[in-house]
Amino acid sequence: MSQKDQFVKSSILDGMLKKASKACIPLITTFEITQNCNYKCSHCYNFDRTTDATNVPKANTLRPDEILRIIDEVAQVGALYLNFTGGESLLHPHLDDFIRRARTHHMEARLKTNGSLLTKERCEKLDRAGLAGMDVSLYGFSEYSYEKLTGKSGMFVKTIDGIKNAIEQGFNVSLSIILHRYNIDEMKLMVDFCRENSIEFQFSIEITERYDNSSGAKDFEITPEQFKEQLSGEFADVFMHLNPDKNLQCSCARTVCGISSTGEVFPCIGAPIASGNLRDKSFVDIWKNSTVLNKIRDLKTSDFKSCMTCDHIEYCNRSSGSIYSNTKEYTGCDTVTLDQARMRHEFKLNTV
Amino acid sequence: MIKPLRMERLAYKTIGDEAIILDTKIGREVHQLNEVATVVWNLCNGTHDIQSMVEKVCTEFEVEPAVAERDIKALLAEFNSKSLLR
Repeated sequence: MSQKDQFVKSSILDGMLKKASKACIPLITTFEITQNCNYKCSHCYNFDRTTDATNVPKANTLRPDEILRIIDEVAQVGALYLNFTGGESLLHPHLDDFIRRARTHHMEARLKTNGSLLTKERCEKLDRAGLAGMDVSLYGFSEYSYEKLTGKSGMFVKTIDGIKNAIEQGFNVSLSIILHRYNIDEMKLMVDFCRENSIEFQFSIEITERYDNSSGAKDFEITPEQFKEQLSGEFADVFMHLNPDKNLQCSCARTVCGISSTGEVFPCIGAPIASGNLRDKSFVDIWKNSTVLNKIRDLKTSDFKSCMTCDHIEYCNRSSGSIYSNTKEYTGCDTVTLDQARMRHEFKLNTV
Repeated sequence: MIKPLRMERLAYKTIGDEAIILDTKIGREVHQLNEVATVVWNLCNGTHDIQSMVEKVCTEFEVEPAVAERDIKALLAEFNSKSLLR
């Protein structure tokens, strides 16, 4: 799944986000309701899904009544968007109940999904429950690249059909195009599909280490050679990130928040730093009083020590969550982030 | 007596003194309300008629009832024009 949100685009929302950031209101909360998935993606950040026993729910997964209680608590703190994610969120048998509960609090309910289970009938039910939209991950534009990444056959066609069904139902659909070393040649096809169907999209090239520390997730990451090649390609703007203001901090623990399927609160779903468990304390209590969350809120630019002395900071698009997943150092750096910033910098110097 | 009621499909939240309304599926728009409009919006729950809204607005803001009534009617008309009310 993509770990970034792309639907917050209007200038009005931008203004509200600034207000919410100051007041630390988790406007955008992502709730992992299951770790079960119908795919076996090796790049998944949850755990190694390539082995057989990937669909066994964790023994300590939140029960439906606990999830409903947490939705109430999240609303109390001020969430506006509630994104249900997984695993594959559509596999949860009580998903529609969760959407309905979010709607009773006037939150916008959305899904992060791989899209393969979006039949017409399922879309109709989701619509009736009150779902507003979804962010669908797109892993390529052929059965070859899909099977290579997801470990399942026939999923490309199902995903495209699912996306079309969702659009037909009137959902606000956006795509997260996950770029990896086996689909990078299909980038234009994916973009053309989005443009032809008037679908908003974003790219993601981040592949992080797994949360369970098993190895192999990054085997699909685009290679340095591929990255370099793309800097002068048709979609160079996707890869050429400039950071002239030397921004290092993100929305973690301020306007975004993540909740794991076991009730652990994270500063962001992409930054798996345990900040308190919802079985022990209420969301309100953890969000306001967690030492971890407050420490992240209090971070200053000078706390990002390696960035302060980095020659490539103006070409860096570091993600604290990804870096934490890779190194366990939230304010640190990782090899890929540094290499990509360096390649951007060198490319820019060579083209001036 | 009309008692305005918000459309069910909308998502909304008040942050500070201002409300934000998401009309993602139908209108595909985001609306931001100022302080007075936010008070009126929060009263659009099907239990307040215009007179009751005027009273509430007059207790929260320094405004003459006639002016408040005119402004509230204009505001409700705008909400209606954007299909935000049932």
